[in-house]
Amino acid sequence: MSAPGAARAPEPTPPAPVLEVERLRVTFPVRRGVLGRRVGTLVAVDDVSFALRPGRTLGLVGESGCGKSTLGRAILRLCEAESGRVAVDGVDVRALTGERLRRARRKMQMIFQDPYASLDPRRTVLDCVAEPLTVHGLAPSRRAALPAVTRLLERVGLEASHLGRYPHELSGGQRQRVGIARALALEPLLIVADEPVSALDMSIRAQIVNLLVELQRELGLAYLFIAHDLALVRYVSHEVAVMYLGRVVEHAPVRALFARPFHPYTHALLASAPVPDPDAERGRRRLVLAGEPPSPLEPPTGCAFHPRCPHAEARCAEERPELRTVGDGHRAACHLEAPRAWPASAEGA
Amino acid sequence: MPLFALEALTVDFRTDDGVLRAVDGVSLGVEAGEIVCLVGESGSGKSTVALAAMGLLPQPAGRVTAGAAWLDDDGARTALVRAGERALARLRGRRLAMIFQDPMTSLNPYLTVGAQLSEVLELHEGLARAAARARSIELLRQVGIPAPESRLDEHPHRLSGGMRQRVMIAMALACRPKLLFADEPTTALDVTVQAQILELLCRERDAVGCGILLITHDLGVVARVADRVAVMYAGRIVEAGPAREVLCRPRHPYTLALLRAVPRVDAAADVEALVAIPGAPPSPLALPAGCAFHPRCALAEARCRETSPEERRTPTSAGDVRLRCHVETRP
Repeated sequence: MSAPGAARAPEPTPPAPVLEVERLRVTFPVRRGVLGRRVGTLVAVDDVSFALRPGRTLGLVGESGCGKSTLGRAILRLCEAESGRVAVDGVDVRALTGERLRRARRKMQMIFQDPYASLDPRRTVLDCVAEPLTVHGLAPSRRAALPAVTRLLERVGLEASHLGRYPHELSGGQRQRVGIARALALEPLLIVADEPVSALDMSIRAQIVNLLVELQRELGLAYLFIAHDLALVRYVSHEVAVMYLGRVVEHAPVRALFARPFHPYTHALLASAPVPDPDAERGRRRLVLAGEPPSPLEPPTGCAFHPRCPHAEARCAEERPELRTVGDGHRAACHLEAPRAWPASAEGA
Repeated sequence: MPLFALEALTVDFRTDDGVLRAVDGVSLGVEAGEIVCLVGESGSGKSTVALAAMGLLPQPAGRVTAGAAWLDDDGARTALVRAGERALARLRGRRLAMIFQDPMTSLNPYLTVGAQLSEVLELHEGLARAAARARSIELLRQVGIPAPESRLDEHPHRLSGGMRQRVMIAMALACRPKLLFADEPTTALDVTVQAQILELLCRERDAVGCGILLITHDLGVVARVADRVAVMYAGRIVEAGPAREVLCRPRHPYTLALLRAVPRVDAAADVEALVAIPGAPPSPLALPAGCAFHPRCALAEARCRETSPEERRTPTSAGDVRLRCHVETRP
């Protein structure tokens, strides 16, 4: 058996990217006091660039507050970026308004972490899945959408008997299937999945993950898969980007990233994630990264990771490392010449 | 005599839809200096076990209807269940403590970190105010909080999730309890912070020799810290034994299925396709007949649908494995 993601060979002539992100920057005003006076700027996403081709998954990992969800939302224009370019199917979506934006939105959909929060509790499964079809004029009425909705439900592993149910009558896994059916209704090219299984029970996660992988194979969907679970990201992704404090610090094909991580932060993330095998756990280096990510309101100078990095040198505090190529399709933002093992003193007991 | 023992503990909840059995005949021991993990999905009853032992079941809905929980209190075997609120209050903090997934459930948002820690120390240890403050600083330092002196005067909401979790652990450890219940203590945390908190719990166990019952759904966490593990499904322990034995040679089809359903981060192992478990955990109000796992079990036979399997013991070099299964997987 092989990985559903990793084992697929890249196609000989790569098709045009579905998603191109160039130097994207997202900021939020920081307000204080009763008058909400603007006292500063929080840079949530800074200088992020990547491209995603059809049928491929880019995994986006990082700890809470690193900007991974904001990046996903900015791509879908659920929040506005300050600068940079986002092109979906060759169209710069940041420039679009009104009807043209609505049409572009059909190509990009989102799957949320908590389907309970993203589905209207007063509406049936049929209503939820038919809504995008009627809103975008693909079906004149809910009744006319019925055949399409029935097909969609079948495709995500639900039955026609679920059509009249309300979200609270469904299990967590079934609700997420409804969320997926809704996202598929407009036949999108790109799906941003933000922690799509982390609210589900262990025994249900694999069902949903395998469904997403199957749908990708069948429909050639491109996924931006946002998750904090590295093992899951390894399983579904072709490429992985690691974010720290708003910036991508490493971006590589999935195998290279997990076998030869370059950035010290990536090393720490991989070593921190436990493995369900006591023998493997015993043999692993117990590297414990001290401290917590710094506040994006007061980012460190130079490399944002330098206060926690065991290899930090003088220049790391002064000069921000840019992403540079360190291997085949492998980029990292680090001043080190080569990846270095963490010193013994940084390891835990 | 183990530090902590559950004997056939059964807990019922009265609900609008009828009485549901959340925990059904659970027996489990924790020795001093040992970390035992209780694993299960939501609704498996794993959290209810600890709440019942702490006397913290939601009232009046929850009730221990059978069985017992014992704590070795310096050689005296003390009953925890039905002990009475006053006796339990005397034990909580001093002899047993609990940490929760969400620290805000046990931290008071109106009081500073220092005031809450000092209260515990003044109440249970009889320390004077100045001594309590000094010991609070020491405790915060011990759990890895930088510049603890300045943190004492802050309110919990000013701290990050990881810091709050540390404060709660510091409060739980303040009176050096013999037994610590930790219910999903790292589930809400990032992986690097999770690693720090797990190290902290292991260090405390090594330093004080306390026993820890760690409730989790994460098999990776089990592999990292557990000496022994018990796997719960639909209110019952279906497999229990030495952690290495259970995780490396799972005998119950549910344990095996869980292990096949979670991806691994380590590069040494080949990435295998995840095998999903069909269906969903049953509602405790409508448990299937026979073995509760049979509708989802790949190995189910006719008898699995009819009779609930009794518990069997298999000796191994590291200790007994307890198993509730008619069939048993073949490695």
